[in-house]
Amino acid sequence: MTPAEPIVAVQGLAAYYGRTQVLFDVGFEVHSGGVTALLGANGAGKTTTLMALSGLVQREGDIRLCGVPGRRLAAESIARLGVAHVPADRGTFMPLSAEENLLLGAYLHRDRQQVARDLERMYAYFPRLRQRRHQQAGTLSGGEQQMLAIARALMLRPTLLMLDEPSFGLAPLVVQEVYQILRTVREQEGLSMLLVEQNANLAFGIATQVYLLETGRVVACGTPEQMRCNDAVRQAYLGH
Amino acid sequence: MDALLHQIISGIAMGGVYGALGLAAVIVYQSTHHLNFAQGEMAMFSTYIAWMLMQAGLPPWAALGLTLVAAFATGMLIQRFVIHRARFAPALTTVLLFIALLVIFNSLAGWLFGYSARIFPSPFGSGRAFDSALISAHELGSIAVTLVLVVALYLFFNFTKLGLAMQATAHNPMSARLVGIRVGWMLAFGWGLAAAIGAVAGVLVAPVVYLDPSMMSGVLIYGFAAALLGGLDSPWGAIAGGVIVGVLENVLGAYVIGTELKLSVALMLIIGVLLFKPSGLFGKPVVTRV
Repeated sequence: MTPAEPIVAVQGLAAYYGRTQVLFDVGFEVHSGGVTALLGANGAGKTTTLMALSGLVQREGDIRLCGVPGRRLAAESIARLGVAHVPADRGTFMPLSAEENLLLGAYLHRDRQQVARDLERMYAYFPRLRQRRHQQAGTLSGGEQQMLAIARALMLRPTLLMLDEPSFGLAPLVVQEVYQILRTVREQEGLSMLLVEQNANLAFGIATQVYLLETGRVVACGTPEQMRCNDAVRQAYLGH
Repeated sequence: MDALLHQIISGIAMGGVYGALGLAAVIVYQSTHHLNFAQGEMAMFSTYIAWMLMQAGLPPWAALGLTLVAAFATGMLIQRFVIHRARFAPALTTVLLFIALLVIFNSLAGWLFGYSARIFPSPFGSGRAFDSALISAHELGSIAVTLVLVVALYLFFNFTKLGLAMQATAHNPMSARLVGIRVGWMLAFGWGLAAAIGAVAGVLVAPVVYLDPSMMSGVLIYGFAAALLGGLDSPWGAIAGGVIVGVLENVLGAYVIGTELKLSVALMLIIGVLLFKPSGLFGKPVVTRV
């Protein structure tokens, strides 16, 4: 991978659930160290875009992930490229303990001491998870499960972290907490992010590049500043 | 009094074996929510392999070790080449597949080894344990093997990476794939493990009921009763359920209903559990907050 090449480069992406096409010619990039946000309403295809990148839905088009053609890879192999995906349902292993959930995030790593250090770092980012480490993950609150999902994804030591609406269903204060941690993580771990959001203000606050999706197509893109001035975005997402 | 005690002890020994077969069913059930009706016949076939190896002159323990390896490999192959292909099929298709496997293994054993019952020597010898009137060497050995099995599986599922990955696969396959677990192989490994545990049960049953192609048909019902009683999602429940079923079967058979009706105890248990406590005695419903 050349230094200038983006972490994610997608062109002409189409995705299908059975015979129903839900993505049409989607294209976007995530630059190294950058945060790309996919903004859109319910049903715009944001979640499907992440699932197409992870190999969880049937897809067509040109996908380059971490410098490798990714379209034919299975989900298990995409994880091996250093792509971590925090799914919309948070993907919690409910009956297992919080710490076991985190250790599963490090499934691909064999260096136990480094994994133990990673675990400590996660508990430093998310002190609440340390208190809950031996608790059954299914009994954690929504916010704690979201934190657990992010920490589990970070245990993979990803170069690309994909987040599917980390604000969904959380109280405003918890949302602030989660985004604050995401900003810290981005600075300290030096990773790139692909973020799916419905909340434009949250997305603009962290993103370097924003794409607006409507019914499976990219309808606008630009920097957060450019997007704030976009009439369509202002009316639909910012309410002024 | 001694007679009752003897019935209880041999019930525990036999119950551990039922529990082992139930455990095999639970391991498959946990990952795919399918009850493998062919689990018993696969165990029977493995027992024939052990018998064949011993006939060929191998020492009993070497034959048993090889049998476990063969059973494990067969279980994995069946999952990869048969069950895996039907993973999107409706539940009834899978049930038919299991019944087909049951018939295939039963007929294959009859065709290869004949239908007459054969004596299968216990790996623990045929004597009494410590010259005791209460317990035979085979019963003591069965109990010991069951205990070792339970401890080994507990350690495997809770303290090894592979065991944790198998649990993750059972609970949330999509999330498991996202952390890089090769879910297809985990399912195959689960089938291998179940087949090997089934083989252990087969080898422990055969000295008691004699080896013939239908020796597991009754044991499978006891095994399923054990798994249901313990709770289909609880491996330790299966063993505990097995012991309860084994003791009940023996004591009721000896003192209350007679040996002819023993199997109906298991069937009544199955119906009773399904009617009144479908999650079983030890199957805890997973607590989830939304």
